[in-house]
Amino acid sequence: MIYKILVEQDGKFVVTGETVECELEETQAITEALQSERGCCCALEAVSEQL
Amino acid sequence: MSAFLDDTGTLITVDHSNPLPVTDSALLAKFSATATSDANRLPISQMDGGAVSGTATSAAVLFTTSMLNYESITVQVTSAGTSCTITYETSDDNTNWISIAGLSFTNVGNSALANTSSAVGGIQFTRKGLYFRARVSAYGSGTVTAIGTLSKAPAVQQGLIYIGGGLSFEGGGANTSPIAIGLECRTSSKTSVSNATLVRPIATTDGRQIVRLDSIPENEWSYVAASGGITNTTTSVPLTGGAGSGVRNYITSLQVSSDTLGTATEVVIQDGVSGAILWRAKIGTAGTVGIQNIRFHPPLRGSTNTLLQAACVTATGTGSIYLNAQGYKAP
Repeated sequence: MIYKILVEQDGKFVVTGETVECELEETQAITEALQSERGCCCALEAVSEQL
Repeated sequence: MSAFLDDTGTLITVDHSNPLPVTDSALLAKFSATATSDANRLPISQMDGGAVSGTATSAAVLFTTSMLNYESITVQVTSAGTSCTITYETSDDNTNWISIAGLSFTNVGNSALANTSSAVGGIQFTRKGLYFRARVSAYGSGTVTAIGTLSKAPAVQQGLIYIGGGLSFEGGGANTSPIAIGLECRTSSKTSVSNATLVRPIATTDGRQIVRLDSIPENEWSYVAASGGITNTTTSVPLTGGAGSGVRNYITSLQVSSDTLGTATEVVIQDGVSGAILWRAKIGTAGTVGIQNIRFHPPLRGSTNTLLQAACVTATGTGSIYLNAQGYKAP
């Protein structure tokens, strides 16, 4: 699954334009890693099954 | 109707139907929720069971609520969408969020704390930060709906407990509260873990522990006789080198065989180049009958960081002697 990466800005989650491909089970670890890397809450939103 | 003079000499009349000589507005000014003095403000009770909720069809916050005057919150996911993850977070500043874990409604005492959910169900959280929120951290498709109910009662339930150890440190005194240790039964080889990580002991399916004696394989050594063996010499042969600071070599078994010899000899195993003799045997001119296998119990034990060597005490003239030895390194 391909996910759009969103970051929290002023309480809203906005699309960064970046994507990540991973399984659903991996999304939590990825959002935590993104949060640690970027210093703000992050979220993933599915785009499609394929690139 | 009655009357009296107050301390300023003013005549105060009192109506029997309203015996207190004050007005409603005077009372409210002095004793109300908005009184100017904190000490006089009437306590206002917060409603129990305050409700919050939210719905999302994208990665978004479902709801954010203040936990002021509340001790816990239950969150029920009534629609989980498809391939969605809801993350629960708390914050003191409503800006920087930290994940918070709670226990499932269905917990019967053995559920682990969870800080996310991806299916319908309910989780109870105790208050930590001032604010609490639920958000869709990974969105697949569909609609995610969560309902939160604030409670003035603390969350009191017991989930799965992980015992981290620490009361009985290695090298410390034995504790008086031993913990039963379970083994992993196996009918096949298990996957090895990395060095210096935890691993469970293994057993048969009826609980008989599998035990490997002496040492880990990586610390074992073996000596193989040179081709042709030891022939007509008293020069020693090293069985194994020094094992390192504070570590010794142990010999658990040895195999010896020989041809017929021109001269009988003693065979010795020595602790270091000029150290103590740990083992000695004699082989006559007739040689050995077949291969003699010797198991040492207890194992022969060398000095720390010292090689072990073997030698014939007398040169045999003709015929050769074959020595093979096995052992391990340990303190």
